Amino acid sequence: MSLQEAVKFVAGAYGLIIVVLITTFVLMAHRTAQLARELRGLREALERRLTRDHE
Amino acid sequence: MTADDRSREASLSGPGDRPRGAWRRLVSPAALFAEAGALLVAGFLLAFWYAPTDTSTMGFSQKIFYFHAPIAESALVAYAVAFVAGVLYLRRQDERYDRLGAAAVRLGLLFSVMVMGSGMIWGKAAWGVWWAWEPRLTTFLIACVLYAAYFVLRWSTDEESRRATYSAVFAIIAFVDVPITFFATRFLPAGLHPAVITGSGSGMAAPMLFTFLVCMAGMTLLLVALLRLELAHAALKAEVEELKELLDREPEPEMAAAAVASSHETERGIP
Repeated sequence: MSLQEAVKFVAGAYGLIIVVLITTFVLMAHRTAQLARELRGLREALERRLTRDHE
Repeated sequence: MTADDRSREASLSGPGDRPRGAWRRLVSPAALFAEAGALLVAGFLLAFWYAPTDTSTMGFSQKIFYFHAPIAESALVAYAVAFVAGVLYLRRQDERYDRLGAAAVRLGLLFSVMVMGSGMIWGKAAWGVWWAWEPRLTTFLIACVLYAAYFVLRWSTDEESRRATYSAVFAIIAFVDVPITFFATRFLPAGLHPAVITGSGSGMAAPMLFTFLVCMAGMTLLLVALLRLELAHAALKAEVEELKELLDREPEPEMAAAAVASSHETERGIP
């Protein structure tokens, strides 16, 4: 196999790994951030209810 | 699970599991991602600018090895974590271990996909074929299919404790394939896949071994960081469900206050 061909295979393998890793990280971070926002919203609603009950 | 239970849990493990002292900063999820990223970038640079090109059989395509092998090892480590979590769940019936097992299998499968993808490309470059039915590749494919079935099993069972028990038992049984995969190249040397590190050494030049170890450390840290992010996500999901349930009915003020405190604790654990 020529060096040029080998370089293509190596680039393909590393490209695949890097794309999968970055996509995974971005998706995981995104859905965690989304849940964290939802959690904050729900907590605020609960806190409002607690304050209302106190009053 | 009550808000009190979850508050106590948050102080024991999962996203709230923050070790005391100087280790806290080093092993926080954000730090783990940074350390893993730094090691993997260093490993990548070492692989192309420090480690010599293999002159025996594979030539330049051997460079794939520096990420391919550590990803494979990390996948097997993830399956081992799922095995341990399964055993612990069956002994203690604690849902934290069910979450840990599911997160480990999910990441193990992800790493397995990368191993199969990069392995097929390397196989084409080194052996001239995309796939060969030889011991290492076949046993690894069986592991992938087994662990994919793990999720089919989880999705097909609605009741939580039953799902956790079935998953734990399945993770323990599926793990039987992992040592077979690992030792396939050692006990069945007739296959195409080489055994790089054996009892008699690695057979690699020192710069190659150093590069491999840097990549190995980076990939293992990345697995740990992703595992912590998955656990944080699972804890958040449970917390959100709990708050939704509380808002649907009229909770006791103490219970609502405990849930608010617990949600603060969970949120602090997000990477």
